[in-house]
Amino acid sequence: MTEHEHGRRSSETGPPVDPRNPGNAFVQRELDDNRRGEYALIWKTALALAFVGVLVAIRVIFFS
Amino acid sequence: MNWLDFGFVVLQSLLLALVATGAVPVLAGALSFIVIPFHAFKNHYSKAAPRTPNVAIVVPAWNEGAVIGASIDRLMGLDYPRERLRVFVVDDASTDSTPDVVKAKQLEYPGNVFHLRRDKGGEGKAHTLNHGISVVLEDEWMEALLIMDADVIYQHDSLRRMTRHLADPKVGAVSAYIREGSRDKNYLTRFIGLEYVLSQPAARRAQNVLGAQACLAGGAQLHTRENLLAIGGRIDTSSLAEDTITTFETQLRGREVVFEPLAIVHAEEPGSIDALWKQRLRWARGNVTVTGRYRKIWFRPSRVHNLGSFAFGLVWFSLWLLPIAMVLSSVGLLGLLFLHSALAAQLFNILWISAAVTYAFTLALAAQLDVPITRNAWREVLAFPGVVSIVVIISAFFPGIVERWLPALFGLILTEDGQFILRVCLYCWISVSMIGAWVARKVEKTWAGRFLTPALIYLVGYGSLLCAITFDSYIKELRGAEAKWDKTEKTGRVAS
Repeated sequence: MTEHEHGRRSSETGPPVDPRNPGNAFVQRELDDNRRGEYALIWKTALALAFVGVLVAIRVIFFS
Repeated sequence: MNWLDFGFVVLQSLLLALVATGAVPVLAGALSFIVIPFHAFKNHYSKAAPRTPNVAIVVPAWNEGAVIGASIDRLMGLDYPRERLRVFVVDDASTDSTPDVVKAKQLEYPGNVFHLRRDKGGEGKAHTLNHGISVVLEDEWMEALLIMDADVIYQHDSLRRMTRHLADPKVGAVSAYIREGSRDKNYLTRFIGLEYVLSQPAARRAQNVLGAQACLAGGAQLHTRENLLAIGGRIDTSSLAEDTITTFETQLRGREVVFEPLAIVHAEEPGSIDALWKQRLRWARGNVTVTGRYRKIWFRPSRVHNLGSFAFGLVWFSLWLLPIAMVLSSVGLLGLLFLHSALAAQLFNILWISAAVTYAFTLALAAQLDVPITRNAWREVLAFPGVVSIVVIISAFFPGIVERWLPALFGLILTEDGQFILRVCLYCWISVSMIGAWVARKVEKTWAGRFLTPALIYLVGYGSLLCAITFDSYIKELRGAEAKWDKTEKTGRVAS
């Protein structure tokens, strides 16, 4: 799932009724969803760091 | 201490300093990626708000007959009030069907699409854009200007997601995420796709956090009218780096440049090394101009902008001088090795282990930021540093595998001389890899190129290819070679 899709799917209201004129309420909800979606960066970073941690652990345990 | 010992110490210190230059880009890369999670707290969404200004879209077009019609249709289909949208196609003296296609679209979308013709073409994108900008500024209708390329395809909600940031009067410009979108992908477009993930949803988020953006996307940049007027009402035409100069000029006047990772724009990228080389050489030479033109801002913090911050300078120069750092670090390691210094092996391990950790972290994080792209490019994710560099990394990270286990598979044991030769190869590989990339370009158009060029790029790594191009830009600048604007060939391969 792309971030774009994430932004869309995380919207509680779904797509706007009239895409050309979605209305301020919809755009504001989308903004709030997108802002909350950025918190996913924290666990994504944690996962990347965990991957590095596994590599370091293998080196320390088997190659030092 | 006699003179011989003193000379040894001096030489060793010098070589140590050379090796240290190789650590700077690694450190810069690690630092810029480690700030990415802070985008969860330091982003512009809290200052953004619903806003739909009148947007004038200026599209420079030179012989874009194959793609311009579809591009206009897509723009007219954006999730944006049509009465607030005007598309100005600046036909740069095209000799193909571009004028006919645009005129037909002008009739199809009256009041929304306009055909502007330049009789004198071929002066470059900035000149073409300025023609359109001068027309757009003639009246007060335009509140925001979107600069784009003729062949890119905007996702329906991308413009809406960009304009919401203009609710903050401090914002001067917004950049979208240009995603590689060629329909007929090959190894190179997949590498480029991955590179764009690393450099945009990853690195530009980091630049949002640092408060300084290096470059607005050439194919998707939105400016407020006020910002456009503040930077002179035109795009710089004196260099090959008009997008970077526009970005810097915006920030130097105290306005923010925001990267919006969720505004996605698909673009066709070069499918051959030769085309990529020409495109990136233009960018790299443009960066030489930018570095020189803004020499008074580097590493000089300002209250007006963050371009002078240490972090931004470190990131900028690490990328710009990366090939030099690679060569100097190889020279340093080889020098220490020939001095029979015990330091050589230790420093090699420290340098490559740091590089390995940084690579693993950045790729593991980037792979999660645009899953469809990275899933499709899983081979390129694994081979991004290059297969040989991975072997070098393994030799540093998992000592014994390359020196003992691998030869043992073939019933071999490396002698002392063999180990020395292996060390020489490992230490100078990072520089030699650039030559491999250069060879890949040279053989591309030969009968063997179809197989040999991709094989070489997988072996030497995509990063080495980019470094080789940057190195070429140094040479061209030193020679004072003519800086001409080469249009990247587009064939309408973007998947909609």
